[in-house]
Amino acid sequence: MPRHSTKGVLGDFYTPDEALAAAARVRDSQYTHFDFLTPFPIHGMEEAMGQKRSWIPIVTGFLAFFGITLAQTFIYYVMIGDWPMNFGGKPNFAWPSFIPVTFESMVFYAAIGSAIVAIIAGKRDTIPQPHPMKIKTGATIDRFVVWISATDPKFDATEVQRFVTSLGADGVRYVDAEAGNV
Amino acid sequence: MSHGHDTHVPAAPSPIRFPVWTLIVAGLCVAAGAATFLWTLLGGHAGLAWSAYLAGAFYALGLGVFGVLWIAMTTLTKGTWAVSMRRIPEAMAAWIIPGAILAILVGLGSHSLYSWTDEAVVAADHFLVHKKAFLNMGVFYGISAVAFLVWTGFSIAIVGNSLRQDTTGKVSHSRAIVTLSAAFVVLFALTFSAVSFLYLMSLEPHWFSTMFAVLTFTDVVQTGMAFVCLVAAGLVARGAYNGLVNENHLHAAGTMLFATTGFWAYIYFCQFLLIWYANIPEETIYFLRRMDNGWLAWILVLPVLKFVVPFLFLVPRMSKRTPWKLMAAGAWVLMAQFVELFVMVAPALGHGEEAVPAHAPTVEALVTLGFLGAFFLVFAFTLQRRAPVPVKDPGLRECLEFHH
Repeated sequence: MPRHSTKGVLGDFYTPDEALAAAARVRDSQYTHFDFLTPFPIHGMEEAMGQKRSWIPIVTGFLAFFGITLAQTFIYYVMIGDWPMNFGGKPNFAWPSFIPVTFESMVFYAAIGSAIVAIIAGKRDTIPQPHPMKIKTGATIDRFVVWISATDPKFDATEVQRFVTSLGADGVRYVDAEAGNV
Repeated sequence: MSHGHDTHVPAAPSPIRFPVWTLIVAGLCVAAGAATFLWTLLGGHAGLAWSAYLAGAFYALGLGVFGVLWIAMTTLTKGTWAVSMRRIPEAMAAWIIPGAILAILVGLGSHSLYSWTDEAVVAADHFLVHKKAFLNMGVFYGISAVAFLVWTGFSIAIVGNSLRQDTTGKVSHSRAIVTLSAAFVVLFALTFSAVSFLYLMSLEPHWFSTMFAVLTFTDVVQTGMAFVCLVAAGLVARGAYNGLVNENHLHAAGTMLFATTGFWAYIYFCQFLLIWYANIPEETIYFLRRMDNGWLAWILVLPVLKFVVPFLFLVPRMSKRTPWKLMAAGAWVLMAQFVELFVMVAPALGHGEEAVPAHAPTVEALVTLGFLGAFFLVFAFTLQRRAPVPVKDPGLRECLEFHH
């Protein structure tokens, strides 16, 4: 699926509550290629839009265990296999000494890895967004914008505009950046 | 088109009623605890009786003072999600007065518990001669009195402002609670540290740990949060809150329990790591005594009980949002706190010379259950007498819109 779409219908709301109520109605409609563009995150928007839980926390969990294993294995290799050292008469592989660095390794791999996975997944698993360079929305200022992309299989410009107007949106418009209609 | 907020505010719920069987069970626990303590004390096992009493009294007092501490912490961090369930910590704070009286009675058993009360032992011990300025009964009673008076005063002032706001609806009560909270967290840090040194750390008078005060503080926060989760989830499951406390608030409380569980592991491991790495005899004695005479299994199982199990259990989202799962997590952490106090207190008996072998914690468990039963009765009757939700609090609207 393309990341951006240059064609679709936009409509403006003025408050988060209106956007939430509208999101639930779009979710229950026939359209699937829709999104809500808002100036700030709105609590409850995922449920209202009917989004599934993210699978990224599972990746984070695996990366955390990877970080733990890597740190302890590396320390074991250094302290036993590669260059045995003794500190303070403790056993060479004194694992409690290395719990802090194991913890840090866990956080490092879990955090950085999750961020990279989130960026890649965010670019792949998304419905086509209004092209950021070609379509202007009020979402960067003070509007809560509903977007239904023309890539939607049920898309019909007139019908979608009528539907978005029925949600109570203001400034409902069909945009087609290629045709110069923004 | 309406541009205003039209959040539906549920009706204020009717006063909370705990199921009668919980009150009966709590009453039976009190009877069993008191009987066990007296039986053991009069049966000639004064040391065992008083160490069980100390563990139980400290446990319950921690739950009581957590009530005020939790209100102070959520107020200062503007944690409005905790507003609708605030009557729970307020009712917990009602235990401070009876709990403080019961805790100060530990002084009656000081000769069985603390070797520094024995003049002959102190005179023969270079360390204890130097520690005498702090470790004596005058300081014990004096600091206890100051600490307990401070906690009582702040609990009355903070809870009083909150209750008066129900009728007057004035914002000035909320402002007063902010000021009181800021003063309380500082005074609590000082007084609670001193109390934990005197009551628990001085059981091993040679031993000292720079992590001890923060460890007992962590215990109080983790255990108190577990109790709040247990009660709040139970009341939500019974529909006692009309949705004013819902699964989003339970999720936040469960997340707090999860966070304090992680924090406990951090602090507990810190104390162990510092002592193990430095390897100084005065410090290692604490762990050496708890690795000998059969105690090793207890000290090894403690991190599993208090960290590994609740941590992994609370990771999934639904264990924080499903009432019975959150209740299970809370009850588990409350049980684990008993084990921690048992491992802290019981091996210290015998005035440091004759080692105490590990034993099943029968007496300790029954006496602690007695204290917890008494705590629950005071808590339940206080909560039932008051309006269940602070309906005039200015943070309530934000609290009701809270999503997780």
